[in-house]
Amino acid sequence: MNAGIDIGYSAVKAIAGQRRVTFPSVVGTPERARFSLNGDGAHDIILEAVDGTAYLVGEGAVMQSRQVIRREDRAWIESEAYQRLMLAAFSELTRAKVVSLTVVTGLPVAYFTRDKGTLRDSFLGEHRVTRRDRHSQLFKVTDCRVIPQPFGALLSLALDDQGRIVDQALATGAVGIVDVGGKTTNLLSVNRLSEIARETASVDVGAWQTARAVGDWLSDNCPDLQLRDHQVMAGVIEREVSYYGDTVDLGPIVDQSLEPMAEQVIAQATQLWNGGASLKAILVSGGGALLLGPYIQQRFRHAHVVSDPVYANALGYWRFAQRIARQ
Amino acid sequence: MAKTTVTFSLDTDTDRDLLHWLEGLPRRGRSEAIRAALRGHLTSGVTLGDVYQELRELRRKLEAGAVVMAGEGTGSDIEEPADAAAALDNLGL
Repeated sequence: MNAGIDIGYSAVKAIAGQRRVTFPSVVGTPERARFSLNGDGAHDIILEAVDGTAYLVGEGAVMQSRQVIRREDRAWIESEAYQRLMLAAFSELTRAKVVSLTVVTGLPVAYFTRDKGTLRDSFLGEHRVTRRDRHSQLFKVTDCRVIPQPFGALLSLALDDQGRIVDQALATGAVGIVDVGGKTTNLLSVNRLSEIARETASVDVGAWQTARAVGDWLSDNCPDLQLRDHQVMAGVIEREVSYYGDTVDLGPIVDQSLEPMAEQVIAQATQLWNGGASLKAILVSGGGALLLGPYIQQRFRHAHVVSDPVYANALGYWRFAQRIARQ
Repeated sequence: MAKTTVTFSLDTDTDRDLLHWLEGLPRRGRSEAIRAALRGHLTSGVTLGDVYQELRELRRKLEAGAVVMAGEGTGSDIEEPADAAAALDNLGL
């Protein structure tokens, strides 16, 4: 099986063929009693460690766990929580008992050079996964490529499902990619599918910044509303929350948070790409693309939000995995 | 089980192919043939038995030493820009 796996600070996205899955990048502390009492948790991802400890991953952890682990630091990729997200992604993609895998995944551009070896090593090799109410699975990752995250969005457009270059314009031109993640926004410049390092940078702004601003505002204005991070993010995307049956409009506070973020990203892109006019296209991707995209399009008329921006990186990873597996 | 009879109309011009097929059927067994055709249409005409038969045929060919081309999936029919393809193949190494 070939898989594209995008483990972001906000959510895990994974694609293998027609199968695509996503779940929040959240690992819950063991809450055994709560698992079994909840009748609608049929699709909870519950991983069982060798010592019998259970971990709830994804949406179930957001909804049910008393304590959740969600990290936003560089060392995250070496943590047990990251490993559990990876194993959960594997087991969401297939129920097969023994699976040989070619994996493509990504790292933020700022960490890419330093951390790609570490991340590749953590993927490569054999991983046994035991999920509650399922037979044990063995995943053998025989090949793994780690690429700069924003490359995924470009490859999702430039390659077909076999990993062949089908968009000659994107493959042979100069393209800018703005990948708006949860914590960072990556700016990548690519010419003829080669990264232009001097035109690539990472800006420390992301969708979670807006979620935090909205969360602070809700604490002051809707003090009885106890929302987890991901629930606040859902409110940001929908631009409203419900409070004692009333709809609270979050539009103004969301805009107020997004404008300075957008200015920062646009300033960096303008400087890096010398105004951006010589680029064939600017692609906007990532979970925050729909939030920042309109601002970026106002500044760069050849910018556009890629189709299905949340999955774009994972799709590009998978298409690249298809290519690698053919070689 | 009770039997029921269904009648339907055909156009002598636009449905000529169907008329030709129907006329070619043996007088006894027409209903059976029509039922099979309709059922085949409802199930896309491909049964598990068909798939198994195809796999057996493929296996027989492979064991006989045949070279099986992957067809569309080989990429041989797509011209890739050489430098961009090379850059791509080295990505992440």
